[in-house]
Amino acid sequence: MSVVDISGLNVSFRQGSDEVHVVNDVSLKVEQGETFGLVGASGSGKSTVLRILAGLNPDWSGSLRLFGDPVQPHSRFTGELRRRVQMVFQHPYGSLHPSHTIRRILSEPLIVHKRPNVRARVTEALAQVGFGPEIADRRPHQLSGGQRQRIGIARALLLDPDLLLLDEPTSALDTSVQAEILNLLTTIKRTRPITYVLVSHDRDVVAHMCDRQVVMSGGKIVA
Amino acid sequence: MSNLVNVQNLAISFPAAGGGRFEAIRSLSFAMGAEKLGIVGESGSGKSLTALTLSGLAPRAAAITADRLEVAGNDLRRFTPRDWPAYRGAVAGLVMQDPKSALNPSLTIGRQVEETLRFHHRLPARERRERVLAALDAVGLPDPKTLVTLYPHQLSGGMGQRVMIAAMLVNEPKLLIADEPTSALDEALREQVLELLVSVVESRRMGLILISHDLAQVARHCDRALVMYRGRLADEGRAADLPTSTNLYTSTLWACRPSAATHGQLLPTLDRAAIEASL
Repeated sequence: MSVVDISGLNVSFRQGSDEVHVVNDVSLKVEQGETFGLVGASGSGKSTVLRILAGLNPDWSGSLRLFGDPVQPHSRFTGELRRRVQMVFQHPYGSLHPSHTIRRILSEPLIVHKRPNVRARVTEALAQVGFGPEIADRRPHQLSGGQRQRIGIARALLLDPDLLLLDEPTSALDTSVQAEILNLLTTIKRTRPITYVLVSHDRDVVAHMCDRQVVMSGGKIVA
Repeated sequence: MSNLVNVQNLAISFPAAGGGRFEAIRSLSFAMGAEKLGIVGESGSGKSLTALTLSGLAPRAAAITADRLEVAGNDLRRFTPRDWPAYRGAVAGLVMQDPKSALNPSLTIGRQVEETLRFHHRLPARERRERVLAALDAVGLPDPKTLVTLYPHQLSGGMGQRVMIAAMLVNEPKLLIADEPTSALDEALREQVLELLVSVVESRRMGLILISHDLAQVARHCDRALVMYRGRLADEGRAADLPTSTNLYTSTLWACRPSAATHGQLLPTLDRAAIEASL
């Protein structure tokens, strides 16, 4: 059973009398425990595919199975799927609420999913990405870009996801900080059974991280 | 005048929250002639602030001191606000990171490339137009006559960056300062734009300061390199020697880049305590 099984995926919108295909007949499978790379230039459709996998873009057609179960287009993710699939975004600042403390940001998924021992689990999650508990009382603007991205990763891991979607997780960071984040992702993978789908325009990052990859251009898989 | 740029003991600080001062650049010294100098470092290392200072565009809150701060014989320390406009564009041109935000969206390309010419010279309209077309042609843009009538949103990122370079070249400054000129561009376009920059700088015997976070890019295209860490000069030398530098900071920056060869391994990371101690 593949973690991700896409076949004949299409996304298009109308522009006047033309139909613009953002994703054009994309088929791919990602197996349990893999790190799978989606590479391509801006506008190639790679982020759109990732957003579909995250349930953030329900307007598609074709066939999609996650963990063996079919997902219907034009529907919201419900139940376990909302825990099993998590995403790390490109701009850590834009994805963390600017006026909430780190504790509140990390507590939210636990509260939504009605998990016990919120405080202890937040401390544990922070330790996992290399922070002491004292950082929980700070706000995102008091952190550097790399620190914010580590918070984004901690938040995504809090619910023990089976599939982690990474949308250009290091492209807003310095190479030196990128190395720290990539190492963190590699280390996490060594300690638990998790599948990664990594979207990046940087071939070197994908070559470093991924077991398999496809290249997208103009909405299609070209290699 | 043996040197195009001469900076000695440059220090820049900002008022910090809590009353103290934050030292963004500390005792930075370097000199260059008509050569290609790369300045590399992480964000916050002071490399962009150095570029802005040489263009008179550092934030007003910045307190700037230096023993020498000279570009082509101009003592920038003595400049009054009136001196800067005559200097910018004519002596030193600045190419910024993102053409989308550096170009005025409501003016045609022709108007914007022409602007420096109008500002610095009194030329007949026909000659201005010829120089604008020649500059656009020199940066490899197709059909300059149509291009001058277009607006920035009608151009791709790579074309926009070429227009920016043309706008800087039209006045033939002695120094071109390029602050991350390719980081807003797709990978495929980066080399093209850099090769263009290098070829115009060489053919006109100008000096180039290339600010970049990409060590490999500087190693490929520059003659010399300065490596900055938290406002200080951590390392300097021939750009081609960057890959083999024995400096702790430079060598880690070089080695921490991922590639197919590092697949599955942990990358080296900066030991900041050791670097601070070595400075």
